[in-house]
Amino acid sequence: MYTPDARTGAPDAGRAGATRESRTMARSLARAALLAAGACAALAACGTARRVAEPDLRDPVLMAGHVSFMRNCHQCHPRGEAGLGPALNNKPLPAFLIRTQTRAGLGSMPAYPPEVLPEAELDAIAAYLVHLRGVAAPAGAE
Amino acid sequence: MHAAAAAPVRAGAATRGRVGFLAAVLVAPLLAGCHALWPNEGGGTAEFRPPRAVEPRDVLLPAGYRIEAVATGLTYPTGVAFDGQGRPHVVESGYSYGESFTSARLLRVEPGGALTPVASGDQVPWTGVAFHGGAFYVASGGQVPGKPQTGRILRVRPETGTVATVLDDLPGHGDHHTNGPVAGPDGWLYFAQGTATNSGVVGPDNWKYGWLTRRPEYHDIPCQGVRLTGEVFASDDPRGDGRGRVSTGAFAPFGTAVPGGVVRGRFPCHGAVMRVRPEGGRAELVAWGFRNPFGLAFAPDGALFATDHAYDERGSRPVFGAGDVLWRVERGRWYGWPDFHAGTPLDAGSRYSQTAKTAGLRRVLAEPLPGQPPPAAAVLAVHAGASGLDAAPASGAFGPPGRLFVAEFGDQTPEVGKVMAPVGYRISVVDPRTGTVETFAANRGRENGPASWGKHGGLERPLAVRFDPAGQSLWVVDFGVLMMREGAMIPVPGTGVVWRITRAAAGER
Repeated sequence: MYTPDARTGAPDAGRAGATRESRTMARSLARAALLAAGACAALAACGTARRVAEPDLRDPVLMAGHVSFMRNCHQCHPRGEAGLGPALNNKPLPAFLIRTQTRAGLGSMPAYPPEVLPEAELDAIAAYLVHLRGVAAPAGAE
Repeated sequence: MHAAAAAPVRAGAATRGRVGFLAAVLVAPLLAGCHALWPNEGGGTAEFRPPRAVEPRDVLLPAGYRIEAVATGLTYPTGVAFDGQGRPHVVESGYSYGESFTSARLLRVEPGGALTPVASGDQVPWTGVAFHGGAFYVASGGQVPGKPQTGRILRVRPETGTVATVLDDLPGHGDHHTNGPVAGPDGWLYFAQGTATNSGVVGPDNWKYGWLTRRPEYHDIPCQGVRLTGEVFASDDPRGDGRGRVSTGAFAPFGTAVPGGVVRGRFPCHGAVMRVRPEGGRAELVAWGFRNPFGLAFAPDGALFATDHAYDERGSRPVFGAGDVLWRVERGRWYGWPDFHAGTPLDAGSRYSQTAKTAGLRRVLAEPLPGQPPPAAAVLAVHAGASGLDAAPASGAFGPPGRLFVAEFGDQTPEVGKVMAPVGYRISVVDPRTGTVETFAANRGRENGPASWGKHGGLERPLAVRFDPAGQSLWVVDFGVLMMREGAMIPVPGTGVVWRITRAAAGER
């Protein structure tokens, strides 16, 4: 934090104490601001629930991802929208983070180990989710 | 392209990539806490003031289909069927969650939407209707206070309105009622009986639902003998001054802690699909181990499908994250309730016990189990309320034959758990070959939800669907407004609607 004492380097004990106090306060304010920003980011990440039209699934990998998504993910994220869990069709997660979160499980989301969700299926789900983000909302649902 | 010209583009892309990566890293852990952070956003929490607006343009459909309102002003409608002349008839339940009692009725829907009473009854709820061999068949529950009633299958003669009992003594007093019926290709009437409780243990939630005050000795009945682990569940005791605590075991009355051992099976039982001849006689068990098999339908190839309302996060044995299930029903099978969901055991990892309320979820059934539950035909959204269903006819006049259309009643949170956005409130279509679930009819707007949520005139709570005899139109029974408040369910009489979806003429919306 920039202060007059730091700028001049004056060796005044009383002013030094006041400076420490103001630094502590400034740090607290900074932490509070960070927490507030984090909370806002968290709520923003949770909140938006975009609806999308039916995606083009002619690519066999996307079709496989769609089928596997329906078996494993749809119940909490219906069609990628928010439901029991947050929306997935608007989150900027790259495929490797989708895979990591699915394997590890976070918060209320359970982990999906390879014996439950084989590697190829998980890859297909990740590709499907990335594809879903690019699908437009249907008319009337923008 | 020249390298020098390409460099700034690559740098810009790299910057965007780094920013995107950082955003992703930030968002990933934040997502983890969403369910815990977010308040309940169930669709029933919206405020509603009558009258209900009805506006077909507020319902989104695939291209080539149109929707219209055929009848309005109904009170708690639950089913639709067509008589021998193809005339539509609708049943009003006579009861809604929220302990609202009215009269159960069978009404003919006249051209223009007028409603002509055909028959009525005081043993409620009437939860479904079918037409077969010149008569209507109605599933009837047993919820009226002060009357020793049971679930029944009733026959209604359309020409006289006389009501006769085909089958009596079904255990239809609990959370879930006697459902169906539907006529099978073999000429039998197939119907279903839901369970008394959420997951096998009577709890304070059943007091809130009303029936535990009327039937304190009531509990679930297995169709065959089962061996118990002896797990007991502590809960508040709402009886008396409401300050006591009790322990309750599975398949036992409230406050009865049973040790392990065998519980004898009985018939008729809970959580089962059964059948009976239309002329009456002894019912037969088709399959069991369901929770609340609400909708039954035969596909063109003769396969029987059932929707099943899955576990809630409520009561003495709450379960987290169980999506509603679509089953292909095979004769003689056990489908897993109260220890499995869609073929997966409830104690498999922490999948069904992710919240503090559900931590430590354990099985109540000991080996040997009644069978190995099969995988589901499809799993729908958690708390969607997957209810009535019908199969697209073989003619293909409406859509691909065999596709299953499912009415999703919509979530009943916070009573049953918590959701981050309204769930259900639409008509879905399921391909039973792949288990994929698509939206067929849903309300307009950026977020899904009932009409009362979106403040428009679209679908409220779809409860049943039925193709007309020609297979050219899909009729949708919309129960109307059911508001959910912390500790209270508030149904609004007179807000039910019957919708009809048809193929649009060329050039029409």
